[in-house]
Amino acid sequence: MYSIIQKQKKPALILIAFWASISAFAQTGSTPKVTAEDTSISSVGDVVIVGYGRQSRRNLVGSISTVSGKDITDMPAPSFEAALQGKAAGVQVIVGSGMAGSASLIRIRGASSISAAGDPLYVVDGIPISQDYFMNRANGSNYGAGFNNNPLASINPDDIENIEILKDAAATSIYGSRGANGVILITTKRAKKKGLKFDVSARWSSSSPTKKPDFVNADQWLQLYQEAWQNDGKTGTPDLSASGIRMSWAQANDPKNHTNWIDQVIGNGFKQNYNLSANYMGKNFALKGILSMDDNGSFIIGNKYNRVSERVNMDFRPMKGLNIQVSQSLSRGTNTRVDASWAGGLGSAMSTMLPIYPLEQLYDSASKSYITPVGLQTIRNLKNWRTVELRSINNVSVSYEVNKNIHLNYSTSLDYMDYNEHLYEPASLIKLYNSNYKQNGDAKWFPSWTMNRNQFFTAQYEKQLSRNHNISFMGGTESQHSITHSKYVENFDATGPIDQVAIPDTAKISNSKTPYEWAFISYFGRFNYSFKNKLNFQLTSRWDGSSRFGRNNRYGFFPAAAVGYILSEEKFMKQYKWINFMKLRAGMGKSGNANFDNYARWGTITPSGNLPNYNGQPQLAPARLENPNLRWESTVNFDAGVEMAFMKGRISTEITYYSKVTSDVIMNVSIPVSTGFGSFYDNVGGITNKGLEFSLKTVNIRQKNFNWTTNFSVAKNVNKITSIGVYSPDAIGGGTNDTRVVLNQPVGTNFLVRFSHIDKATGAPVYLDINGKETSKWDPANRVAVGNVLPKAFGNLANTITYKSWELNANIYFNYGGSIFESSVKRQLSLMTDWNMDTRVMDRWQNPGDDALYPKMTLNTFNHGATTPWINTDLWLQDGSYVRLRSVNIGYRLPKKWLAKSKFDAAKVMIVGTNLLTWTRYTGIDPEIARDFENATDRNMSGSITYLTTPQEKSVSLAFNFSF
Amino acid sequence: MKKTLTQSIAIVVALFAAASTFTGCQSIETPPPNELLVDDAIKTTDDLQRLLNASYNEVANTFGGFASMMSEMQSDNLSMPNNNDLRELYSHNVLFFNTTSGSFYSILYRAIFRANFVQDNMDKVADLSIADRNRLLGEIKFIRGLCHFTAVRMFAQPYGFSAKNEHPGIAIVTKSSTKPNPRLSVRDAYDAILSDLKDAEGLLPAENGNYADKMSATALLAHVYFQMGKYTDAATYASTVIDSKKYSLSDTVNLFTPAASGEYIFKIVSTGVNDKRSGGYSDIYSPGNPTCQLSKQLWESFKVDLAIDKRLKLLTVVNAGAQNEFIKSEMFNAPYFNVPVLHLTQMHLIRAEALAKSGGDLAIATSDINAIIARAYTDNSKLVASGSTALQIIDATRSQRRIELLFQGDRTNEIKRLGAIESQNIYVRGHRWDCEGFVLQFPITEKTSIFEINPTGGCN
Repeated sequence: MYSIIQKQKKPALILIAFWASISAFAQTGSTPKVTAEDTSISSVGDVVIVGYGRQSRRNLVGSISTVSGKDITDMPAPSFEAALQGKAAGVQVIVGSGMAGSASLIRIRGASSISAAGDPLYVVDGIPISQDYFMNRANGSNYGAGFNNNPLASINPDDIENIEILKDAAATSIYGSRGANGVILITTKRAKKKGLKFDVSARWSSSSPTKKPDFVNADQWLQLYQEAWQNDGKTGTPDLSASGIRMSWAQANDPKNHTNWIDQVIGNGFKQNYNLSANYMGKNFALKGILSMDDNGSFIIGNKYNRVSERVNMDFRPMKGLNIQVSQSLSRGTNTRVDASWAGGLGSAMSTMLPIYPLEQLYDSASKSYITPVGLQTIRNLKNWRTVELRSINNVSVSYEVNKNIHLNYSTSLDYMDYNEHLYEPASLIKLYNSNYKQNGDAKWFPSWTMNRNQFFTAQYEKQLSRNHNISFMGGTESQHSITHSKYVENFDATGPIDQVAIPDTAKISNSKTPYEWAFISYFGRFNYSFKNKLNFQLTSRWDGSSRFGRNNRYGFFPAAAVGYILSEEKFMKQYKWINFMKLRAGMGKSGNANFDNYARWGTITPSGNLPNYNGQPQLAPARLENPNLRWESTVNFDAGVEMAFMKGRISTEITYYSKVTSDVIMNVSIPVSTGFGSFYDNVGGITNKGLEFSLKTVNIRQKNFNWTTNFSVAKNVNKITSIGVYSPDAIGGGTNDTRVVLNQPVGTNFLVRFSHIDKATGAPVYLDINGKETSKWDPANRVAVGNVLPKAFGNLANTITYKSWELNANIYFNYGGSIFESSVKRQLSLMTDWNMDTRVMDRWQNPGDDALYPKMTLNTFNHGATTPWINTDLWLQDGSYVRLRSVNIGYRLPKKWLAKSKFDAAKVMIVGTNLLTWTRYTGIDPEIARDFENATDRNMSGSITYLTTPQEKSVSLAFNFSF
Repeated sequence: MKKTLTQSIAIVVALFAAASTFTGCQSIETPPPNELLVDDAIKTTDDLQRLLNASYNEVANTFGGFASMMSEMQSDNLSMPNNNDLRELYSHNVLFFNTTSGSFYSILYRAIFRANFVQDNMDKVADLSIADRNRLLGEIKFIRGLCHFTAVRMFAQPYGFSAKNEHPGIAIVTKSSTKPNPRLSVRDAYDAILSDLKDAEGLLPAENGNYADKMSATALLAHVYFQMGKYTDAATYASTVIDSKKYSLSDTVNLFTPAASGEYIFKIVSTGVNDKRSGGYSDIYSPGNPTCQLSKQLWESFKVDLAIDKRLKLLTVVNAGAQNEFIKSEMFNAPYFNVPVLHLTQMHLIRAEALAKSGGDLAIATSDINAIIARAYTDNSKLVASGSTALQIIDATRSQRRIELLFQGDRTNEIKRLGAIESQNIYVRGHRWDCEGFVLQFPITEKTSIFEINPTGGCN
């Protein structure tokens, strides 16, 4: 694939995209007639959901992006949040891997958290939902390893009416200590049309990887091994046991034994999605019912996510002024799991499952044991492994209009999530590892279930004081409590999974269930003042108390003030006829992040029963030291923007500058162990994010039968860590990915020993020491900041063309800057171990004088100047820029006259392609990377780092929508 | 539905108040399950005792073999190990990601933290008797002294390395807190260690079961002064222990057997195979192909006395003559045993050399070293003649120390003392005693703006 980035300097790319859309507009000379609804600033009249209320978009003073439900359901995605990519400026979405149901990584306006979760707060119909990406870790299962659970996967995208993304303090500070990383408000569908109406949709898709991992074949691998053997000064037949391989050289060379393991695990994914919704609206009662089934097979053989869901949203109006809304949903998500990443499957095919190993294990009669690993297909076929989630999000909301000025609202919600991991390994599988195994099989069950309840009460007072002055005041109180229980059950002698075969008492071990609990109590208020409908002023504040905050900081206060000025209403602006609308807005405020360990503040002691005796006497050991000062991360957010529309609304644009200054950053600090502890949650650091967001919407052509609009957005963010207290960069490890917190560098800095070149004479790598001097020794003391995982800019170019009944949509997403660190290639290029080799190894040093990219083959890491085979250098670091044709969508709306005879009101056929093309200079598999993470810190610091990561998927779908 | 504004406001206020009470019922106190809150857990003297027992538990994890391995590996007693981490020790180039060295360091300081935690929470027990308070404080200070002393010897250049001992030492931690601690000079570290141990000596009772007692502190003080080259003090403290007649030299040459328990001044307790705190020693010395094997060079020098030295019977040559020949120890083969940390043999060796070095009574020095020699050999050929010079006594004592304390983690400390105090030009594998890599490296997380870790790059 030839790259356009290769030809162009990268900043130019964005300009080209920009220019392209402008010039396209300029070339269309026609001046079609304009209808009122047609203007692109019709959105000015839109109502936007804000925290605990609604406002007209025109009078909005905060920075809020709206994404419609249609944008989310139009394309297949592992989970709804993936579809947000490119839909709003400043919202970075790294879509998860091609594994079914994988989680995306979303960051709004940069990264301002380190050990507290950096994800935005998700609120569904008023309840901040449970969003734990590490449930399979919390319940003690190692089997979640290699793949994080996705708490959003069980949410049905077809339930979503729209999504508001709250970005600045004016919008988020009403969410107080939880708003700092942005808030995503999800509103589910309610009945909209009078009478009884139905919608049906169906979609079928086929998926494959964006790029297949490219590894050497058996013959090449053996040649490389021989070369390493000879380079190490050894002669004769190479001995594979030096790398822990038990096959003889002759066996390894026997083509009968050779297998392409990548082909054994990658196939074609099949997906199907069906959706039926019913709409009824009567005089005092309305109902929306949705039934959906989504069967999302990934291209990894044996892996799929199946979701069946139901929703009933009802509205009652028993008397004038009283409105009761009931929203209820239940979904069941079943992820049929396979091993991935470092835990096996494709990860093994890319590492320890060598192409010299046969499909069926080789048995050695001399040692009476198998000398090759169990085939990946055998593991997949015999292992019965599922995660089953039940999720039910329910809300009852009662609102009462006391009079035209006073409005009361009470809302109570329950978000129930039940997450079960089932693993069953039959004797036929276990015996392949352990020939002495005598039982029937091993069944494990890791259940955990979360009850997350909240309720809030708000009272709103609105009054038009005079013709020019409008005020409104909203005050409210909210409480939320969440408790998760988890346990672990194992049947050592099982004939089937625990959910299918009853467990005999004798075979059962079960930990007592352990709760994991948090709670918030909050008080909040919002005051709005509007002058002549052109000057809007807003004050918000919230007090948050949380179970996570230390003794000395039980409540946090989060105020914000913002102003919006619709300049185009002023008389002096009327002379500029080409300006249809112009609004200036600015706001400043404080919000927080309180999404960290529930129990970090407490000082506790491990009871004697959980510790061994010493000297025959019981022990009591301190478990954690109290942190009475522990509190929220605090972000002061300044935001200023201009919104404009020109030329009868054919061009509309928005430019926003923001600055987020975060202090008291929560770090799970690896404190000096001389304190007696390994780690400790503390408010240590400071981080700033400064950025610009620009979006432009142009109606390039507007004719009766032909319309063309372009949406372009780009955001640039500059991130910097301004304080790490007294600590060193290594006090916060980004998991095993060698990203660190480095003062004056961005969050997620690649902190690596620098590679200089390959010594032409010896083929050994030459490194640079801390002072930039060449050295042959690898020493972690020479690590420096060499890159970072955050992009410099990213954005999206969307074009929509409609011609008669046809519609074409194309989304191009681009990511500029940011580094990709390939954490696994240290063992796939040049150092010969028991790992498979990447085909890039062909560019290695072989003979004196070679000017090679990669060092000489060797079996001994000492020859690369290191004491361990696990050394990281910036040789494995690359530029992460890419441009991707994210989606193409061709739709055909059946003409009304065809439908007239049928019962259908509307019918549409679509063909959708995702990720069909990618342009990049990155030489690895796929430049869009969200790997499996170890914990929240890792999730914040290690995006764009691969470790045997499954590539993204591309897909082609056929879809039908009908209304009747 | 007509209401006045006042009425409406009244309704809102009332509802708001009701809702606030409603949400206010919700508790935001959610303590962690399966753990005790500090205030609930510490009520009696027994609770303090149990907390301190958790500190002893870490002392056991350190001195049940771990400390020995870390010291021996850097010395000239062992052959090259087949383990990446230990090979870094062997080649005197410990990187700060070395997890073996890092966990050794962290266990030492966890013992210190847990001791400090007892000290900082004593006041929670209202009816703590003065005797108990003194005893607990004495044990806390003893553990602190023992662990700090071990840390300063392993992680810093030795006492005597620089003229005023102002070179970087270790963190001295005397309070339980998560605040990082500064790296003090070696002089300040030794001052703190001496002060703790002298306090402990004053506070501890003469008898304290299997835990540290007064004599434990006295014996440790002898070690500290000996390492510092303060030989008069070392001899005095060693004499106090020897002259107390509380301990007697064992007849057996293997001190890691119950028969030698009369020698134990402070020991790690194993109560059975399921509670073997001696596993650290057994795991590294006893397996068929153990991690720690005797240096062949050293074996060659020992071999001349093979016929008469009973201690050499505790060494086995495996695969003799073959290419994969190695020499292993048979000292630690019992399924479980108590581990002597401080014992009488050390006191005699310290006193013999310290008296000879400081112009003390050479007759006592001679009898000290001859007591060890007499036990070790089948004949009297090695005995030091009465009337021998101080130098002769020192020579004999040093060569006995090498073999008597073999595998007990003494050798590296001895090399440092000979280099720093006795000005010997002593080398191990071509690396001088004072080269940069001849100390363990701190784990990288130790590095803060107030704590600079050791130089990197090893010796050369």
